[in-house]
Amino acid sequence: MVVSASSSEVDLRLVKEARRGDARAIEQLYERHSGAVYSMALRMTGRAADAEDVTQDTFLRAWRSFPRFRGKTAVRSWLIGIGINLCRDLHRRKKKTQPLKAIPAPTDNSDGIARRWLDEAVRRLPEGYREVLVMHDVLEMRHPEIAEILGVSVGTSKSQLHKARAGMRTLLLADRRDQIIGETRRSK
Amino acid sequence: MSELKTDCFVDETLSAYLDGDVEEARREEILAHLNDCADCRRAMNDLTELSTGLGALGVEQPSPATWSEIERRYTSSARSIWGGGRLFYWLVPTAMAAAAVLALMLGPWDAEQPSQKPVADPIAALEGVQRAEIVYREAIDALETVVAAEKNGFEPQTIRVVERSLAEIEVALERCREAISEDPKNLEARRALLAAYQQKVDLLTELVEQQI
Repeated sequence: MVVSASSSEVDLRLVKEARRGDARAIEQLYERHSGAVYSMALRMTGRAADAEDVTQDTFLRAWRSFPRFRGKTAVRSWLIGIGINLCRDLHRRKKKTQPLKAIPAPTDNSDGIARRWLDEAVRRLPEGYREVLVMHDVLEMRHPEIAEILGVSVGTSKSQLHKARAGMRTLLLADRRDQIIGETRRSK
Repeated sequence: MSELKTDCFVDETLSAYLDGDVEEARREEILAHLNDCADCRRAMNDLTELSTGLGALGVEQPSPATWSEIERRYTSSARSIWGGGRLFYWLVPTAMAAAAVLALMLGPWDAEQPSQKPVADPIAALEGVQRAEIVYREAIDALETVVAAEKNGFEPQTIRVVERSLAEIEVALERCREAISEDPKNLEARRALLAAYQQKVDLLTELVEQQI
């Protein structure tokens, strides 16, 4: 999901039109980028309702800030950056009341690692690792764009990604062991 | 201990290898090693499976209600802006563009040290200034309409501060108008007038944006 040069030009034109009050331009920007913002928020918050709230607030905040947007970053990067900050704010507000969820098994009847397990495992990572992992492996963004959004170097982005993957593998091995132990007990 | 650290590679190697972020010669070495080392192969397989699984999660779309809510909120809060003040987003940048063109024609202007450099085409410059004044006045009218419509939504303290600032700007505007009235070709006075208009636009814009 790399933002091409022509795609960036379309976005900048839409922002200019949105600044002039063109409601259709705002809607088109939403159609182009709401999926990325929502997906990011969904992986960060773990709840569809929270992710939709973050998505709404992201685009409303962006609409207020259109007059000040200078085009130094890609529009998608800018929107995702707003979304990440909103997710962080939400996490800070909800941290103390977040209920624990039962951990699903890593494997189920389908091939590969279970989708539900991946969703939950991502949620268990520290926030910073989770942000990089979601942007890189889920949204297929590249390190220069990720680094720009997070305000870090490309090297730091790569290092955070590695740590996130290491964390995911740790969880995977532990949960696989638990799954095997559980299945063994049930078969006795 | 990191579960991607094996006895064979430093921490980030396998992750970089997965992303194709290693040099060709190093890539060949790693590939040859993976063929021989079961531990590294297991780690690499897990890494690949995780990455593939995450990629398959993909981009999901919010429900249609998300857009409906965005549309409702910006429509209801911006009705007075989008309606009579659709001018707002058109006129303000236009006013600023007019000022920018004027700056190019007249050169940089410093309130403390007005330029002594003669203007290349005084008649064209004067016409440009007069056009810019019209655009600014229209932008200010639109903004004042919005502010008046939304006045009940502002904090009383905010209103008092803004009215005080507007009064000061109005004093500056009046002085410029007097100077222009005495000498309609006084470009310095007209530049000062535009600068004061810009201050008024900035102040009103900031106030309106608080209400969005």
